Amino acid sequence: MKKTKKITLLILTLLLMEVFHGCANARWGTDAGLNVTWGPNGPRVRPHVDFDIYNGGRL
Amino acid sequence: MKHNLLILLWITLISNSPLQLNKKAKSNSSEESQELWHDLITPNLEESKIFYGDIFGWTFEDSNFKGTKMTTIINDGNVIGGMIEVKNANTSTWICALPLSTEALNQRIKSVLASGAKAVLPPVKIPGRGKQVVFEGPLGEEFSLISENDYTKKVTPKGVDKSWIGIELWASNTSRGQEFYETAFGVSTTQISYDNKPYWVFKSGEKLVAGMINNPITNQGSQWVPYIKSTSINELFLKLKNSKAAILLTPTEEVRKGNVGIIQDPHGAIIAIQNTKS
Repeated sequence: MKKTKKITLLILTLLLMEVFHGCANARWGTDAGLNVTWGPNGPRVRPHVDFDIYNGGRL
Repeated sequence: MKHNLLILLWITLISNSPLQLNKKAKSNSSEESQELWHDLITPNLEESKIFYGDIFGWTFEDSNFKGTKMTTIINDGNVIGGMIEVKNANTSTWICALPLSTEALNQRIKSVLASGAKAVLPPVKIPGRGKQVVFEGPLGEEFSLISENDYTKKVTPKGVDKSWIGIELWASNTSRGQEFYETAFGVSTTQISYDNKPYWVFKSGEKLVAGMINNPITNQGSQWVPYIKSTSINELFLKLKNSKAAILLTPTEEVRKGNVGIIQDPHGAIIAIQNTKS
């Protein structure tokens, strides 16, 4: 019984940590290797600029 | 997502009659010698004002129309653009608008639609700002047409510190981009090579109106990117490092000799900053 309580508490703590992490304006990587940023209304992919292609700023 | 936001904005504003496709209109370069108007669509106007105010020293004059919060951006005493809050926007985005007289605007709407763009925000009348239409071009890029008004007439000529230098199309298909803007706006296009990489300039008559490059963003589609002038880019990026912006390119000797930096504002809009001495 004691063991079950401990396991439940541990799972709840982990869940809470995940919730707080999700609420923060944190950035993390996805399995697909995309860099995701949490926006006010959901996740968005952080753009990746390829500087072998970039040739801008000639204005 | 952006489309939904624009439609939402549209619902809150007064709409005109639906657009009709007609034959394309001819270009009118004298009408198009205006400075561009820039609007930031943002999910949080207050946060955007704080960010841009801290970084560029811009100040703001707020207005509210039927619950839609808007503000006019002032740089060193001069009007340079606006911001509009769209609460359920997932990201912010800068939309560049070409100001035109009423007659030229109606003609240009027809030619833009006939050339293959879609109106994602049909013509709306915004008090004090006149008619505005937002389009999605054939590459998925967004741009706008707006009727000349007291604000657009006050826009500072480009090249002032902390204001716009110009806009660049980051195009996933440069041939299609060239074809569309030549047809829809009657501009001419010239291809140049810098550092063995192509660069295109759009000209209206002799006036350079915009640039175009191959889209350097590998995980996003085509978009118009505005450039802001800075006379002290390194100091600006020190400030940006301590802000909520994401820095996509810190000025470095290897890229344009350290004269260009690219950032994403706290809500996702991309802007480039270019160093010029005067």
